[in-house]
Amino acid sequence: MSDPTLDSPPRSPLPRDQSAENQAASAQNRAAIDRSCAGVCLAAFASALFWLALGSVLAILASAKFHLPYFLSDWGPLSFGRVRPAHLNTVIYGWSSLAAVGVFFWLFCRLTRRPMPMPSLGWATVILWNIGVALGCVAILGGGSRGIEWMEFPWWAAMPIFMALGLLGFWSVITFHGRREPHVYVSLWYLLGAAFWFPWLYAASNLLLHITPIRGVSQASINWWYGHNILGVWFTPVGLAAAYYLLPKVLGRPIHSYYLSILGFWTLAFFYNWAGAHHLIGGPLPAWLITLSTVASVMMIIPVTTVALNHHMTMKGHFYRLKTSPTLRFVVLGAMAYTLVSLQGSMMSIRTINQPLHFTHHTVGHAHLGMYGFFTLMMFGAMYYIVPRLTGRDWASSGLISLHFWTVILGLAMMVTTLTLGGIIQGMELNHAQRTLRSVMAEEGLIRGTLTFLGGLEERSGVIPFIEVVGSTIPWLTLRTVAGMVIVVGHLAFIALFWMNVRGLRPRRPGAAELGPSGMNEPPLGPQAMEMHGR
Amino acid sequence: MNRGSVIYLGLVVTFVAAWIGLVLAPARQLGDLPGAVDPVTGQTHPRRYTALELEGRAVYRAEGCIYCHSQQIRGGRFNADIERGWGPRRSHPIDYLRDNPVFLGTSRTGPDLINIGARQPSDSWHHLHLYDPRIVSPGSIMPPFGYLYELRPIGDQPSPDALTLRGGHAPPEGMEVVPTRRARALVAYLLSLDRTYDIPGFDGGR
Amino acid sequence: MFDGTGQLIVVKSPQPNARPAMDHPQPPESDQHDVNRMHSPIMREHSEPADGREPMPIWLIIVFGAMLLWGGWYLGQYSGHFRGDVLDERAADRAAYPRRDLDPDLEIDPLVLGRRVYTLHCMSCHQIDGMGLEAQYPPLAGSEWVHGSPRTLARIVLHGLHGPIEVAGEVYDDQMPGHGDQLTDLRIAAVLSFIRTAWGNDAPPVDPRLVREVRLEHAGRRASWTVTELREAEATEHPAAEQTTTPPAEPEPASP
Repeated sequence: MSDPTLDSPPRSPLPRDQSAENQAASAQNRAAIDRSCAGVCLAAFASALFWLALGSVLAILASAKFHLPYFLSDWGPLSFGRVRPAHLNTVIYGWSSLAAVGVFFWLFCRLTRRPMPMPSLGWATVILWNIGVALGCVAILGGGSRGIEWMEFPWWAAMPIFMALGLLGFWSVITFHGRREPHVYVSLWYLLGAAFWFPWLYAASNLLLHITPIRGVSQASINWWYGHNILGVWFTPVGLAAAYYLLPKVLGRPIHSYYLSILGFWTLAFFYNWAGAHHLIGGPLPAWLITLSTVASVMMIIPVTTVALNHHMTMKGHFYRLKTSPTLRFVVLGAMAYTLVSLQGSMMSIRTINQPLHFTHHTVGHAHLGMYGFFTLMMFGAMYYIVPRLTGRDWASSGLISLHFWTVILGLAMMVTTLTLGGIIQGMELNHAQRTLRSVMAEEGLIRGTLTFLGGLEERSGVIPFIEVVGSTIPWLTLRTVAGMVIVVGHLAFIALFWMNVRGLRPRRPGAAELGPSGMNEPPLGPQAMEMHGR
Repeated sequence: MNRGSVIYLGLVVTFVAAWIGLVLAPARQLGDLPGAVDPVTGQTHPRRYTALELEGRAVYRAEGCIYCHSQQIRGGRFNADIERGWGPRRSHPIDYLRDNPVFLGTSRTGPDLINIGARQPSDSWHHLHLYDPRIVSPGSIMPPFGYLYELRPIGDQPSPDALTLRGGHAPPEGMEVVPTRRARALVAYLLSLDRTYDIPGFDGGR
Repeated sequence: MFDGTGQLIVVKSPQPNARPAMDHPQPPESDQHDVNRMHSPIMREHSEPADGREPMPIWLIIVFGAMLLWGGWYLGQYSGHFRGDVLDERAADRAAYPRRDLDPDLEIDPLVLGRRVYTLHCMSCHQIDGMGLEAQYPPLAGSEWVHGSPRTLARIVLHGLHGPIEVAGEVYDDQMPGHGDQLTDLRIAAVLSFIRTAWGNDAPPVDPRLVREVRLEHAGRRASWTVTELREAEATEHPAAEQTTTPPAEPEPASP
């Protein structure tokens, strides 16, 4: 596989690293970098896992209350209307964001080839962030929610998070300018984007909705500009930065195409910001605003396809490594979920398709495919790679890794399937006031009834009461609770692994923990096997 | 792309453009809407909330009603909202002039509430429904809000606002269930949700 | 592919006593000491990632160009001229939605209008099937009141009702609020006609003029009715003014 363009290679680190001396020097440099940010990153990961555990408990509670309305309903702080936003905010600002902060610092240092400057700024970021999430969580459970989705935290809880973000942005600019590697790798573009955009987005939205609220429905347009863009300018860039770094790192191959990387990054920067108002299709907002967001959302197909192509071509011929590398498994599945959820999102923004799906549990399924399938899996993958480098210890148990992987994948697949299917049925019933799936099936039989229902064009008389639509969602919501419990088992496994690693428990046999046929039960690995696994 | 300045410039330009388009432009276009004046009575819609209704709005917000109930009638091709009787016309930006924050909502696990005050103007119904939704709405999965009500011994004579609970819901002998101030405020707010007036010049999406 | 990485990939020959070195050949002896102090996970690592230089596929550019064209077309088609007051994306031309000066309700079949009014204002208590709720809200289906005097029905809808009322052999004691402020005479007549014909009920429709008369008769009244008051009001009426032949004193038996 020779490439003629290599005649004028980019300023890439790889050719210069070929000599053995450089190899050793760069390994020493990496060790110094990892040592410099180990404390901050481990603190971020540990607190993220705390919020993940709390968020999981809140999730199960909220989910169970859909089909058991009397379950723990006597006390305000545990009522559905408070537990549900508390779940969202702990997993978004607690788990996902703090994991992102940890990955951010580590990746940034690695990519600038620079031991972490000003670690106190990093510590302040992590601490302030945790204070903000803790305050906000207490506020929501105590009845102090702001009542704006994704922005429930009152200003005094949002303020520490904003300060943390400001510090993160400042630290990034300083570190970037002192970088010791002239070539700016694609991951670093995304990280810079996140460090630049998210503090801005956070400040602008909080200012216009909480501090000096603007009048009327424009609030909703800002609300969803924020709600959509926190994914676009914070989670997506950090998640993609991790994928762009880890795929070539684990495989030991360069990323497929620099040009695709550029196209993917700038089209994302150009289109993602404009999405958001398509969450308000059919609502009381000017048509142009919603059309604009719909177009931007559909145009997101361009960066998504580009990134997917770039990752796929990098992976091509090396998928067998999924058998053994935990990092690769989570990262590749996360990247696939990213492609899937983004294309789904583009479709969902088209008015005709949005009509039956809006206001249903389908949207919740979509959100979980994005924030869990893409981002959380990506963070798990990144942590599987990063944590052993921070502590200098390999994961203690490949059995627990396997348990973590399979429960999380199974639970996620179950949850997304039930919510998606249940949501489609719910939406088609909501939008055709005259019939429910059950009523059509009762008239026309199982198969023909389903077809008629999905066709959805025939006229009927009479209005089916809304309560029937509620009833048809209950089996799906019950299954969702089961799916959530399966996922929680995986979380417990991962938290145990992390705890063992930090506490100094080493694997019984030296070497990286790996999955599959050459796992821990096999005889000790030869170098050949080690090379294969490359974690 | 090895120059920081190029990256920074790109990041700023892309973000500012979207901010102008999605935040500034709609805020300018909708920021100075006048209310809808009724040609007959001269009354301006939507009317100002009373102090109690605003308190109820805060309860609605704190208890997370928005996670299951939308407050918007969709128009255009979305005719089921009107057919279900949730409102006579699609919602208009004017309907939300006095709302802060705006509770448009994104989920319809429960029905839309933008006109609940017109659809169900009985405060006793709302109190029963909040106390335990399944008293008046069998099959509902809404959580009960018993903690907004107070179980207390009957004084010299029964309170006028005590809930009329029958059967399995009836309080023990000598006790009565009365709404707290938060429950009364919430019901006052729900009863104020009536956006069935006409907006001059707006066809209502019919 | 980079020859550098290609080299890495083919390092597969077993080296019996070698440390697990992933991304570089065996380091020289002089480095052994330093490397030993490093974490084993770091030693296994490949070099930091690099960029490949594969060209962008031409089909991708064509597809993306086509998408951009579609985006421009869609935006133009559904922009509503970028006006703040155009909410329906299909109303690119405002003339397509002429303002109606007449009451649009007049164009609707009274029974369809009545069903709409019913689902909007009555259904949460009297339910979709008109059966009410046991021991809470009385049924309309088969009710002797619904089959009775339309003026009485108009009074109840206009001003509301409180106190005990017997319907189909059961006594109910709750409150019904008045709807006179919210509903036009046309809509009250439509919903009364609807409930008098729905669910097996069989009574003549109600004329909007009758509702208007009742409204004027009790102009200024705010209080809701009791059953006693309704009976008194009925007693003062001329039977000729009634549109129904059934005297209110002798309620019809419930329809099946």
